[in-house]
Amino acid sequence: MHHAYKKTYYPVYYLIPILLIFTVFYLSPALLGLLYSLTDASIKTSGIRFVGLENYRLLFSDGGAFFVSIWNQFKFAILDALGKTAIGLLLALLLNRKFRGNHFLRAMIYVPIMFGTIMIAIIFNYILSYDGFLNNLLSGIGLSALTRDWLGSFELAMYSVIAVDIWVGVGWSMLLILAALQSVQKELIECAEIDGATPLARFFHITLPSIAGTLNLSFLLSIISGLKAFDIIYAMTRGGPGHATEVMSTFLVKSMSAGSIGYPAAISVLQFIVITTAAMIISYFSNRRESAS
Amino acid sequence: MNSAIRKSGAIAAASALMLALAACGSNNNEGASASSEATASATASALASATASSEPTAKPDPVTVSYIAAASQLNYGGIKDLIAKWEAQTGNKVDIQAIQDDQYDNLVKAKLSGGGDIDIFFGAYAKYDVPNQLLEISGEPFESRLNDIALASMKYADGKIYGFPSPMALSSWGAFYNKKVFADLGLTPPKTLDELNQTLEKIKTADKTPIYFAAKDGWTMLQHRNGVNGVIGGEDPTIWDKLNNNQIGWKDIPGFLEQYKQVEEWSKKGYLNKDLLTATYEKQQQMLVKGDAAIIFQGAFVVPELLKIDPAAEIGFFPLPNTDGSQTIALTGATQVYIAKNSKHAEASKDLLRFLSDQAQVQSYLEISPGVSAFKDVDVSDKMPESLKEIQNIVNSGKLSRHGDEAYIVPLPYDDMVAAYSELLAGKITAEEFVKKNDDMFRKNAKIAKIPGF
Repeated sequence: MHHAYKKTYYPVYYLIPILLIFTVFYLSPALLGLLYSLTDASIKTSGIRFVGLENYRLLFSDGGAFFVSIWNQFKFAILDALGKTAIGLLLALLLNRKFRGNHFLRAMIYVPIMFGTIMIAIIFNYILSYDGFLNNLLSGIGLSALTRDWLGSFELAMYSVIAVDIWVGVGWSMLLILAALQSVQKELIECAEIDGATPLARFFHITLPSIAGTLNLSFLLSIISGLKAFDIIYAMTRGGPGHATEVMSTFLVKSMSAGSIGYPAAISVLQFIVITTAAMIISYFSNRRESAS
Repeated sequence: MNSAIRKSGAIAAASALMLALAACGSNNNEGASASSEATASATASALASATASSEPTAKPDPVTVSYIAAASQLNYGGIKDLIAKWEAQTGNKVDIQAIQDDQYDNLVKAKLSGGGDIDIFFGAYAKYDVPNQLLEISGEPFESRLNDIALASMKYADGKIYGFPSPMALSSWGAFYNKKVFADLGLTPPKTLDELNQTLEKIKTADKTPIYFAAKDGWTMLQHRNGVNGVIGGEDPTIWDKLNNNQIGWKDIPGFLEQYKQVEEWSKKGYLNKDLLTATYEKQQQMLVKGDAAIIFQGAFVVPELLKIDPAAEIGFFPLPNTDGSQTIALTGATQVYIAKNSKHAEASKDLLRFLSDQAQVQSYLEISPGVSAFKDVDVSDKMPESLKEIQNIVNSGKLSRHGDEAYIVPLPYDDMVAAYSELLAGKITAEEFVKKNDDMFRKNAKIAKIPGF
């Protein structure tokens, strides 16, 4: 039996509510931000004057601190995504095997993502402080040579914050990968076993190719999350020591201390451009991979 | 159809922009509170006996005055009891709002900017649009009772006064040291930089931390900076005017660079605590009181905290040494308390602040939280601990300079300053680089704050 399909056109004014919401809550603030970035608006003084690109010039003459924050943001995002995906894969491989306590371990690994970020930051500030739990533990087991000022060291602070963020988010990556592992065809594995393939060969030639798409997804989503990272960094180090853990958002928050509106607006416009560009590049590669597979 | 979508989108966007701009422009409502002034104007009369204000003509309806204070301020001097006393006398109420210290400035600025309900608040002239946001109160009786530095600090650039003095003690900055550690090592307080360096070396040799910095919270670390400003202000009393007029920059002040070369050396020679970037204010106090550390750079407000840890602690004070040993310290003006220009209860607010700054209340406050008084008719020297007496002696000797944050009109780029200090203390940058960063960050902030001449 043949069904005749007919295209139905709905009236354009159906779009008005969503257009209004989009305009008021998304478009207008973005446009206002762009406009403010070209003015000397301030919460301290009345009157707004057009200053052209002066706020952008000040930003670029800021001793490179803004560029450091961009570099740190990407460094955080990439290392964070690599850590979450790699450790998530190892944990998923472990928990894909049947053993007593398997489900309990899965829950334990996933639990940190349900804690409040500020609470986690406060706890890890205590654990990682110079006379905190970690250093006391290291000293207690005779490894005092390894004690460090984990959050106060210019060299280590970024890695300490990344490690905490991986601990928080690895459960999500693990679950994603675990689901993919459970959908790998058992018959393929069994055939390979019969053919005498070693566990490593089975992993690299069957399992890994089968879950590559999920690993890719976990990595890209973690990168996007890392490019937006702010709360855990601000709560743990406020971007310090110096600018060692400064990312774009912490730089933006600090720029507000002088009471200016125009200068922070210029930073947020550039932040928008940087993140949008990065997201477009990620999206391009992601789409290309999907169409190839 | 596409054209219709584009048109409706454009109209919506334009409407939203107009609404937003109209909202932004609605802050300039000078004098909006004039009508409410009359209601509260007679409130002052109820306090006539305590404050020598004019006699009442009619008892007004009670009003509620909002009093926005940093949380830490409310712990001192029995201020809440004094406010309660005023409430009992007038029948008015005070809505005390305790704001977390590090959020205080932003919250007050936001309330002022948004036309929020705000009567009394604290701060410094550099933080506000003074003529448009603060109520002018020139001609109040406290003017004749303030010492010279305190009175000078109360006057804005136009010569008018826009704030009442708080009863809080004046603060000063320098080196607080453990007298027992010094005595055990046969040391005396150094006056020159050479003497200081010899002292530090001897302390280090004795296996104690010569100087303990606490940089977990940036503000505790920056108290050293306040001491440095006391030194350079003492070396050249015109320095703040020159900086304010942009005649010179920070890199043109030799004494400033000299002080930070010392910090660079302290870092290189291991005179500083290893955990300085994560050490807390509380730990700094404990280390000094216990004698594990010999010196900390702090404000006079640290003394009550040290004595809370050990009332018998022997703590002394010396000004930050300089090349010629001139030993000047910066003294704050009185802490300023403002009334919002658009306050609905301006007269009642004035009345409360008159009450809190009269002789009896200031005396009561300083007896509970002793320190250097801003008022000539109040002296609590006999109740001060030893280190504060040493500060009082320097004040009496007149070796004073104005507090940099009050005399310098460019807003402090706090976070940039914390970052630069951390880098210097950790040995990541040299003193010359620090001074250049300092110069750059203040110039940038001056431009952002639209200060003429920058």
